[in-house]
Amino acid sequence: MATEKAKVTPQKLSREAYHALESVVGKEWVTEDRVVIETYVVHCIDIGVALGVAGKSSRIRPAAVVLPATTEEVQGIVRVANRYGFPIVPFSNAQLGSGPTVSGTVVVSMRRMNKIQVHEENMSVTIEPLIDYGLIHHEASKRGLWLGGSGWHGAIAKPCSQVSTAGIWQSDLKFSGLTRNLIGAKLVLADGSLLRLGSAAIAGTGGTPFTETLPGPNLWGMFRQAIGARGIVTELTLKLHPWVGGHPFPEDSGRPSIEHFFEEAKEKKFDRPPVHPRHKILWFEHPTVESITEASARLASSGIGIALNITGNYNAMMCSYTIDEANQRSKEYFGITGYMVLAGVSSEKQLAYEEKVLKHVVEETGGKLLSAEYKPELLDAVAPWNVEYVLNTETGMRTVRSNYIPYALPPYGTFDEMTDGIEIWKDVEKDVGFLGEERGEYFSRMPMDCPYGYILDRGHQITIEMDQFPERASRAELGKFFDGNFYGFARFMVSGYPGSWFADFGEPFLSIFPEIGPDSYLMARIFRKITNPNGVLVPGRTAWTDEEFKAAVKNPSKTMETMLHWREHFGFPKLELAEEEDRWKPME
Amino acid sequence: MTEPIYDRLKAIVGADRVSTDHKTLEKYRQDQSFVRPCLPDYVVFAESVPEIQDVIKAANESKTPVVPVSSGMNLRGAAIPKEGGIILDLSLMNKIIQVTERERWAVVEPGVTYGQLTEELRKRGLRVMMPLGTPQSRSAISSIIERDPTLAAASFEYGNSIHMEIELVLPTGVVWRMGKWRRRLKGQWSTPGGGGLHGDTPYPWLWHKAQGTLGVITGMVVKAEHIPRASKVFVLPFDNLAEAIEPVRKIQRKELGLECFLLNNLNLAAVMAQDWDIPESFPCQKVPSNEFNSLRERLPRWTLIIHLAGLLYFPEEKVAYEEEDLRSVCTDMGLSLSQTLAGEPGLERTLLDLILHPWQALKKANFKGSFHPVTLHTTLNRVPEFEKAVFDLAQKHGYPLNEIGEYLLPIERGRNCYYEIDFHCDLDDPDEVQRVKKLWLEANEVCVNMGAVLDKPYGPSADMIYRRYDSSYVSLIKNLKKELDPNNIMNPGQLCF
Repeated sequence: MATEKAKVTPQKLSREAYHALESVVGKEWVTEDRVVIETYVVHCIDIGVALGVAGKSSRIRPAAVVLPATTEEVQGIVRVANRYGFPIVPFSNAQLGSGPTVSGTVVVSMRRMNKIQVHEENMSVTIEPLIDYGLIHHEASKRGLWLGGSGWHGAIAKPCSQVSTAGIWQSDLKFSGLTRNLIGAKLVLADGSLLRLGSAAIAGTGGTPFTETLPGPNLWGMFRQAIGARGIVTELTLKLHPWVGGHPFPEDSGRPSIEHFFEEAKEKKFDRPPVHPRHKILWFEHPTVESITEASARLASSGIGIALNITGNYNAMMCSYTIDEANQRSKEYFGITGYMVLAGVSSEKQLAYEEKVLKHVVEETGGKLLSAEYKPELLDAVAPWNVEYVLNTETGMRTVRSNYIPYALPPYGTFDEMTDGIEIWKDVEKDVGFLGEERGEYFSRMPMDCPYGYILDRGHQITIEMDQFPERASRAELGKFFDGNFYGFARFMVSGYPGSWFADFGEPFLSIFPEIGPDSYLMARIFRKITNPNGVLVPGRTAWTDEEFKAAVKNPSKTMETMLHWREHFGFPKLELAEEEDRWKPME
Repeated sequence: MTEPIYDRLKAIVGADRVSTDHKTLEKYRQDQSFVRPCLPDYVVFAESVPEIQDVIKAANESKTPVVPVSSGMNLRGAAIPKEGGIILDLSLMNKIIQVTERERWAVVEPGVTYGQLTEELRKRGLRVMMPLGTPQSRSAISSIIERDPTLAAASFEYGNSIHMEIELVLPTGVVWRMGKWRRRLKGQWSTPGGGGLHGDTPYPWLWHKAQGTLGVITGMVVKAEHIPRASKVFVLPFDNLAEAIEPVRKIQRKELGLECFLLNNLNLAAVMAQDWDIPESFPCQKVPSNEFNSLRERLPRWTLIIHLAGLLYFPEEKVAYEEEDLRSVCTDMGLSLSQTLAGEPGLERTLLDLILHPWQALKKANFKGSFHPVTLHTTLNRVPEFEKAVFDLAQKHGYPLNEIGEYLLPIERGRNCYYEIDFHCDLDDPDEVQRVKKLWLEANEVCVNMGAVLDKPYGPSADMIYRRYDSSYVSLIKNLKKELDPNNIMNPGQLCF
C-alpha cells in the first residue's frame, strides 16, 4: 500500500530490450536516466500525466526514452517493442496524448527529426515531427507562402503532433483548420511497417505527395486524431497558401524569436510587432451575444477576410501582462467583442473593399468598430491580440493561463452554439462550481457572458471554447476540474451535441455514451483491431478491445464512475451489459 | 436466383417496389462506359433508412450482393454490378430535409439530384457547387462522395470541401452517423450542422470514392454558397497548353476568380453550340452539328475562363477591383483579357450559364453519342507532358487529335490540378468501340505509369491503379472492408475488394 512517502519507481525494461533499442538508435540516444525520464513527465501537459503527477503515480513514468533520427529508426523501435512486448508512446509536443497509459511504456521522443522542405511550385511543405508552426512560417514566408494559420498554442506547437489530436486555428474562417490542410503523411504502423497517405501512396507519383485525393477510400479518415494509437507520424505534408505579408524574420535567425526580430521587444513592447504588409485587424463591439453572433454569421458568408472570431472576455487573459491585471480586467469585463483579419492578397484595393463591407455589416447589426473615436482605451488594451498573434502566434502564447487545460469544447455546430454554451456554463456554475474564484480568479466565469467563438469554414459551422484553470499540482482541483468536465460532456449531450471534444479521444467516453454514433466505440474497436491489435501503441487510449472493456467494467476507474454518475444525474437511460458482456447498451 | 431472398425483399418494401422484370433489370446492366455489363437479379426501390437496413440484413443472411444506385447517372461504370445480386435503387429517397440560410447548408437524401437541389437553393439565393459535366439528374450525394472536383475548386474555400456530416447504413445493416448529428438519445437524433469531413471526426474520408463497398450513404449535410449578385466572365486564348500554365499560376497566386478553368476548342465548341441540347441519358444519339464543327475550327486551341463574382455586399465593387487586379496581372504577362472569342456574340452569358449549370458541358455527348474520359490529378507543370503522351498514343491508334476533348481545372490556387481527356466514340460502330476502348485503356496505363493519380478506379482501370498502391495501404483497406463487411456483400468486385 502506498504511503505519503512511498517511492515512485518506474518499471524497468529488460536488459535485452534496452540493448535492442540501443542497437537501433545508438547508445547515446536511449536512456533510462531518472532525471531525463522526469523531464518528460514534468514538461508534459497531458491530462492523464497531470493527474499522475498529482497522485504520485509510477504509471506515468516511462521506462525509457528513445530518440530516433529517421523513419527507419522509428520502424526499428516499433519492431523491438513488438519483440519484447513493451508499449510505446510518441512524444513531440508534450501536450494531450503525450503521456504513457500503462507502466513500462517507452517514450519515443521525436526531437531529432527536424527536417523541413518547402515545395514552392506546388505550395506545400513536408516536415518531420520536431518542426513547429514558427519554423514553417519562417521558411514559407521567404517564398511568398504560409501555412494558413496557427492556433492558440504558440509557435512551438508541432503539426505532426497536432494531426493526432487537435488543429483549430484562429484563421479557420478561410482555411478551415489542420484537417483541411493535410496532403500526405508517413506513419509507422504498430507492426513496424510504413504507411504513406496522400498521393505518395501510389507508386510512381514521386516521393512528395501533391494531393490528398486518392482513388478509393482514403485512410486519412482513420489516422487523423488517432492520438498516436494507430500509427506514429514521422512525416507530414501540408498545404501552403499565398502570403503577401512579407518575410518578417532575418535570414540568419534560425528559429524565430520575438526578442530577435522586433526592435520594440527590446523595450518590452513585444506584443505590438509591426503590422504585416497588406494585412489589417479590425475589432468590433456589440451590445449582446445575439447581435455579435448575427454580425459574425453575415460577415462569414460575405466572402471577406481570413479570420473572424468572437473573443468575449477572453481578451482579459490574452492581453494582460500579469494575473492581477487579468483578474481585474475579467472582473470589469471587456465587453462583447470580436475581430476580423483582412488580407489584400490581390492588391490594396481588396483591403479597402473588405473594410467597407466589414464596417457596413457591423453597423447594420448594431455594433461599432473600435477606433480612435470609439473606445480607444479598449482598442489599446486589445492591441496585443494582433495580426501576428492571430496568424502565426510568433509572439508566443500571450496568456496568463499557466494552468491551461481545455475544459469543454463542444463538437462543431451552428451559430446557436454561442447561446447554448452560455446556458450550459450557467448550469456548470450551479451544479459543479467554478475553479479559481477562491484565488481571486474570474477567468472560469467568462463564458457565462460570452464564450470564445471560432467562426469556421466561411460560417458553415462554428465551435466555441470554454475553459477552467486548475492548479496542476492540486489533486483536489484536478479532481473538481474533471468532475466538471465530465458534467459538461453529459450536459452537452442533453443539449443535442455528441458530447464534447473528448468523445473523439475514445475511451472511456465512447463506451459510456453509446448514444454517440450510435455505438461509435464499435467503430473505434474495429480501427484498433486492424491497426494496433496487440496494444503496442499507447494501449487503451482511443479504443478498448473487448477484453479491455470487460476489465474496465470489473474495476471501474474514477473517471468511469463519475461519468456514470452524470448519466444518472441527467436522466440518461440506464446501461446494461450486452449478452457477450463486451459492451454496454442503453435500456431504452 | 433464389426465391427466399425475393420473398424477403417483397416483405420489406412491398411487391410493387421489387422488380425482376428483365426490362427494368436491363437499365442497370451497363452505362456508357467500357465497364463489363452485368445484369442484376433484383431491383429494390427503397424509401427509407429502415428499409435499407432490412434489405442489407436480408442480403447478409443469403450472402446476396448489394449495389447501391442513387440516380443511375454515374457514367463511369461504378454502379454496374459485378456479380448480379440486388440493385438498391435510392432514387425515391429524394427529400431535401432542411435548408439553413444562415449557415448555408442543406440536409439531403441520396435520391436528391443536382437539378432538384439547385432549384430549391435558388429560391433562397443559394447554390450548390458542382463539377463540370455532371448530369442535372445525378444524385448530389453520389457525386459529392465521389469527390468529383467542383468548378470552383480553384478557390480554396469554395472548392472541394462540399459536405459536412454523413449518415450511412453500414454493411451489417447498422445505421451510423458522423459529425454533430451523431447523437441518438432516447430515439431522438441531434440536429445537424457541424463536423464530419473537416471537423472533429474526419471519418467520412473513409467513405469517399468507396462506391458503396463500405456501406450505403443515406444522408448528407451539403454546403451551399450564395449565388453571385454580380458577375463578369473573362477569357484568355492560348495556342497550346504549355503557354497557359504560367498565367494560370500567376492569376491563382493572386487568388483571383471564384471559378477558373480551361477548356480546349472541342469542349468549348460543344458548350457554345446552340443546336445541341443536353442529352437526357447516356449513351445518347449522335446529332450532327455544323455549328459545332465550325466553332471547333474557329476557337482557339485552349481558353482560360475566369469568373469574377460579387456576393451579398457591394457586389459590383468587388467585381470592379478584381477586374482591375486581373487586368494588371495579364498586362504584366503581355496577355489581353477579353469577354469574347472569335467574334462570337453572347459568350459571357453562355459561360456564366455553364458555371451555374455545369451540366451544359454534357452537350459534348451529341458529338458521337458517348465519351470516355481519362481523368487524373497531377501538378500544373506536368500537364503538358501528359497531354503529349496521350496525344502521341492517340496518333498511334489513328484516333483524330481534333476529336479529343480536354478540360483542365487548377485545384486550390494551382497547388495541383485535375485534368480530363475525353475520347468520343460511336457505340453503334463495333470497330470504333474496340479501337477507342483499347486507346482509353492504354491512355490510362500511360498516365499512371507517368505518375498521375487516376481518379476513377472502376472497371478495367481498377486493377492497374490498385497494383500501384503501397501494399500496406491496400492491406489496411482490405482489413477494414473485412471487418465492416464480413460477408463481402457490398458491391463486391469493385475497387480492390
